[in-house]
Amino acid sequence: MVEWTTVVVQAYIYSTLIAFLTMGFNLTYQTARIPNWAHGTFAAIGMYITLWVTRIWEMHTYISLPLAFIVVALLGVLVYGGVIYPLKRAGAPEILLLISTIAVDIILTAVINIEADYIMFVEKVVSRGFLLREEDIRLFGYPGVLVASTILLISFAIFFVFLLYFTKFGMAMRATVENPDLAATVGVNVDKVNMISWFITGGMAGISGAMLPLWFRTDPAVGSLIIINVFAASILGGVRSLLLAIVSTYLIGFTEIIGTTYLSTIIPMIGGVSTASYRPLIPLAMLVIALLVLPEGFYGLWEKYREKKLKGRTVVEET
Amino acid sequence: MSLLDFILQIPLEGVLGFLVDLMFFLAVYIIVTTALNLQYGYTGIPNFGLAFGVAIGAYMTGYVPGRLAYMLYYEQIAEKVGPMCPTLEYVRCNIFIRNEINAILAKEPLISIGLLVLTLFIAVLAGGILGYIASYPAVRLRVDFLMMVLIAIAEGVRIIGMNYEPLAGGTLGVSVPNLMAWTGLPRTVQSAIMVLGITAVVIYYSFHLFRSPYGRVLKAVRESEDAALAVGINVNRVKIEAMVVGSAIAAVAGSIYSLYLGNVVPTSYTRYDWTFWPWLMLLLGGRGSELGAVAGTAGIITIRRIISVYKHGVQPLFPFDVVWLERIALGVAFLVIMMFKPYGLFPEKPFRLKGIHEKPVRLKEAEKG
Repeated sequence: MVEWTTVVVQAYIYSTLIAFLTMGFNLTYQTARIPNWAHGTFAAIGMYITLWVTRIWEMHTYISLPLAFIVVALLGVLVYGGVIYPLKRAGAPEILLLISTIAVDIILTAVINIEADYIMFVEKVVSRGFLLREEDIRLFGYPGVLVASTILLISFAIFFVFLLYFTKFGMAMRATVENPDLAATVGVNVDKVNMISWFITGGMAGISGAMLPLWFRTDPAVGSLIIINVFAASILGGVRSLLLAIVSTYLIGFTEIIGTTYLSTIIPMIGGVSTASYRPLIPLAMLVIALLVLPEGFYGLWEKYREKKLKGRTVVEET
Repeated sequence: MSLLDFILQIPLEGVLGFLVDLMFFLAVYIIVTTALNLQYGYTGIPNFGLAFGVAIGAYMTGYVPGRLAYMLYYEQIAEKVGPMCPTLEYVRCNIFIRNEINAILAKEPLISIGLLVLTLFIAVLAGGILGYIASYPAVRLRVDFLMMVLIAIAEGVRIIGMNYEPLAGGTLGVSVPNLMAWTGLPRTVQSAIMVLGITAVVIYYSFHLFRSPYGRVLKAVRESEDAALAVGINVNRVKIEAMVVGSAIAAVAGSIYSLYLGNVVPTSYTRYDWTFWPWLMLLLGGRGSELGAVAGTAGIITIRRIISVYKHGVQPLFPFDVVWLERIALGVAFLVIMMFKPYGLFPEKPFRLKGIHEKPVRLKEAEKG
């Protein structure tokens, strides 16, 4: 029999951790205008920081959270400043910018694999398919990662609402999202906005990855698997909204895990292997369906609803 | 030791084997880059799902000829395989069944040729159908969304192939019967004839396509969809055709790759080997340029094959698998090309048409007269 409580907890933690990535992905997508293909691999770097801190330095697991934030945030700045910014300056077409994030992903994946091999051969620590669940602490009688990820996600969401709508920098950020050229004309430092958004989102990806091995079995390929969830959630929620992105992340995460478990109870085997092996197909299918059926995502639906509601009234457009 | 001594020391068979291997990889990858050149270089569709065409061609090659031959000679084979593998399932008893099929087909040239043609036909058909499915998003979505969807489709095809055992044997793969055994020639010569023959046909067809008026239609769509539409080109139809034909060509590559190796291992149809490397080859050579696509492929394949030979010698120096260094080189090469040579080493030449781009000599003469 399936223990549904465990499955729901698993789906919840999985979705919560991916929500960090989706939020960050959407933010950089909006400011820099390109989807960062390497975002999942940023998280994978966080995973290996946790492994390093816990197993090699033998320190407390949660020390890896701030460390992962700093390291991956700086990496995000490096990627933007070292790769995307020069290409943009040279006037590279959109397609080359897209390939550049793929190239970054290829390099980072290789670096993670080298690190994993190094940990395995030199430090003699299991570095592929490792699980650090027993290293986790318990908070208020719940697994630490469950509480910590929830609290961190809520605080990041509040932080973003505050940053975007109540600070001058947030206004500059929103201006950059609307129209980078116009924003630059009225004195917004677009490059600074981009640098800071890559810093924050990189750090969030690092934190998310750092918490992943506390509940899930991980290896270097995880980054390239969860990026599909991030894409799917980002498009289903609408790339323009950070909060709807969280909602759609939960929708996709729960569909993936609960759907796979449910399907395995009905049809245990497909084509000689267990049904659970086909799990990555669910976010892939949801991505394709979302793009073809609802290309503007939930945000588009909401905008349509708002337009309908405002019809007939005098609307003063913000100019 | 003089250079001559050094050269003489290299075993001749090793060099020959290396060259045959190199020729084969060159042939397969030139087909793949030509397919990509058709889709991205000419039509401007950034197909990041190139691997799905190659994979479906390979899966079909694993699925069709072996099973058909098994069905044709079921009783003959079952009699011999039965004692060794009582279930007689095609995938589970694959090795035994393949050996029996090879023994039988070595005496049946007509059936072998028929199976070869049928296999290629089905691979092309499957590639075309998958390309048609993938063209649905290709005509509707923006570049960034399209990239995600095409990568997603390729990953989906790989996941299905890796898991669904009846298709191509799951993670272990399935072996392909030798359809050229009837010639009685050594194995390498057989494969060389088959691979080079098919490659020549594909290359001839696609270069002919590129230089025809249709090739200029493709370029028109790439340069400006609106302008192409204005002169009466059905842009969506052209894009669909490019996806279908390109995926079908990629499927041929997958098919001959598995026919040569004699097996299909679904785990090897990764996006690195069959999407990103061909992309690098095309970008290095120059998109939309036939010479560039071939030169880029030749350069990178030669380097990669040489690396694969010397890899094991270097391995003990590093505390990690040296494969990852090659991956880093792949990523860095992408960035370097994009920053310094965005149009590749052999950029596409502007198209010149007789009578339009020629100097208007006659007009001047007419004016004088």
